[in-house]
Amino acid sequence: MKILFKAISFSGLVLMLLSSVLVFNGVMSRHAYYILAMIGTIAWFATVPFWMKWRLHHQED
Amino acid sequence: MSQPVTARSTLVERLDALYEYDREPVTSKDYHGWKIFWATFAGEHIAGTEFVIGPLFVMHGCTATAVLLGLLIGNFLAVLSWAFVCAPVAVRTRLTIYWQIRRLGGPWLTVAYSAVYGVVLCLLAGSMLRVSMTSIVLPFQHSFVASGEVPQWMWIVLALAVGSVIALLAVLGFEGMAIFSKLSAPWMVAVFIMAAIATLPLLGCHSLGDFWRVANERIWTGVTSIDPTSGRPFTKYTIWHVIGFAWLCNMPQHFGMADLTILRYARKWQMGFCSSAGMYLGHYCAWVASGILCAAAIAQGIKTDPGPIAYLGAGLAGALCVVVAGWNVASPTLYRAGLALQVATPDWKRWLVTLVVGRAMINCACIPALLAHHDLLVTTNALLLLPLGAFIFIDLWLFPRIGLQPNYAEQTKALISWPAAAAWILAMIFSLVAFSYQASPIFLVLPEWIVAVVLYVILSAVQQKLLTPSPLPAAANA
Repeated sequence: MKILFKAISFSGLVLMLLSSVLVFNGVMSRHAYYILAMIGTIAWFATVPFWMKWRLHHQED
Repeated sequence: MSQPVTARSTLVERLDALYEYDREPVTSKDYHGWKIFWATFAGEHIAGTEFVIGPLFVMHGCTATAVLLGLLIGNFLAVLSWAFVCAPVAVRTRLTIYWQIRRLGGPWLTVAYSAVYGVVLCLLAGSMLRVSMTSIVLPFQHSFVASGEVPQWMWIVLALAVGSVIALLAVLGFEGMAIFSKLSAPWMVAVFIMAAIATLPLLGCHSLGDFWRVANERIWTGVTSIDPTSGRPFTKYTIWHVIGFAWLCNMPQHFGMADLTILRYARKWQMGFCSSAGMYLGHYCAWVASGILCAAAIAQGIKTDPGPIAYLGAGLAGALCVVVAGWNVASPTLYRAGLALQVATPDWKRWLVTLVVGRAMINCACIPALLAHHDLLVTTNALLLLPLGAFIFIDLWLFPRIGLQPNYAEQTKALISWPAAAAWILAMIFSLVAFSYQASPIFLVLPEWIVAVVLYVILSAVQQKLLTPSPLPAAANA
């Protein structure tokens, strides 16, 4: 399950970056790019808490 | 070892109680490996300020070579500073900066350090809040303000509303905010990169071959912009300014030794090189990206505030990135400011201090010049905190070699080390005088470090060799 969440998270980031490259190449409109960027954002934040671990105790002072 | 905090407790006892759990050196079972340091540095140096600093290079009239090469060199110097100045001290002492200053400067100097640090953090939190507000104000700008220029009263209302939420979060859930900050770091890197790529066509760059021409002709043109707060052109920045700024931007962390707190967990001093992740992702890629966004905004006739440029670059995701980047830093910064200033209050609870500091943050966020002169804020921060880091470095590496006693205040149980206090104050007076003679604060950092070190060594020698009649036992050197 963790692998699935991880795959969705990184797919979100790839979607964002890929859509910007398509805008750069003139293949995609800015409006479609804005929508895909938001979808990628939702994919990242909806799945990342299920797999990313952080140790914080040494940063709290 | 623990001292209860009572209504009668002294200022020093209260301060010690706050940092009680960090008093002992870190033991080997708590050491961390490379992975955690790569991630920590990468996450810590991608924040709301990146949306402000990149545009500053555009507006200060930098050329493309100055920015792209200057950032490469300046960030390299910063990495070397972490690796060869801060990390070796951290793995040798395994203590936080607080206890290190306490040992060499005495408890009263740590009180002074905490108070100064608290005020600096308050200003930085205010700056972060202002960054977030530039994005949150966007819907109001388009809906209610015909001229597109948001009136000051609306900024104040927004600062009160958004700042109150941030202050409340700092009181209630610092840890939650810190975790959210780490989770959002990779996403923020992606937003910066994609926004820059997607914005290049707006500047006439349609292939990689166009980039260098567009960078010189449309982005970093070498022409200074007009400062919106004074109506005069910004100071012209050369490659030396860029190198200096990239190096000093985190001066309080490396030369100033604040990152002893993190790097004391490092297995080896070489882990200081992990700072390159933060420098080259956050302070290279993100600054270059936000510079591109700023140039595109100028070309489109859009305001160069973080919110509008991010919205231009990545739509709603970009605007969200500005809010997240600002809040992620503002809330923990506010928490730390509260912690630092708690000592100066008469036994107030942490939540009350944080709320009062939150109020100060809201006031700071209402200052329009805070973003336009963010470089000055960062430089002042470096100049204020740098000397104490210099003392730690000299105390550890130079004093034993020239026959002086390290951690002299601890050995003599002095309330304050007058050589450290005098050297700190005189070094800052030196910078203030130089600044009054139009010296750029960016170029004052290294001279101030040298002045602080020379004064500290001379005054310590006077204290230990001339004014102290009997030498301390050799064991005290340990």
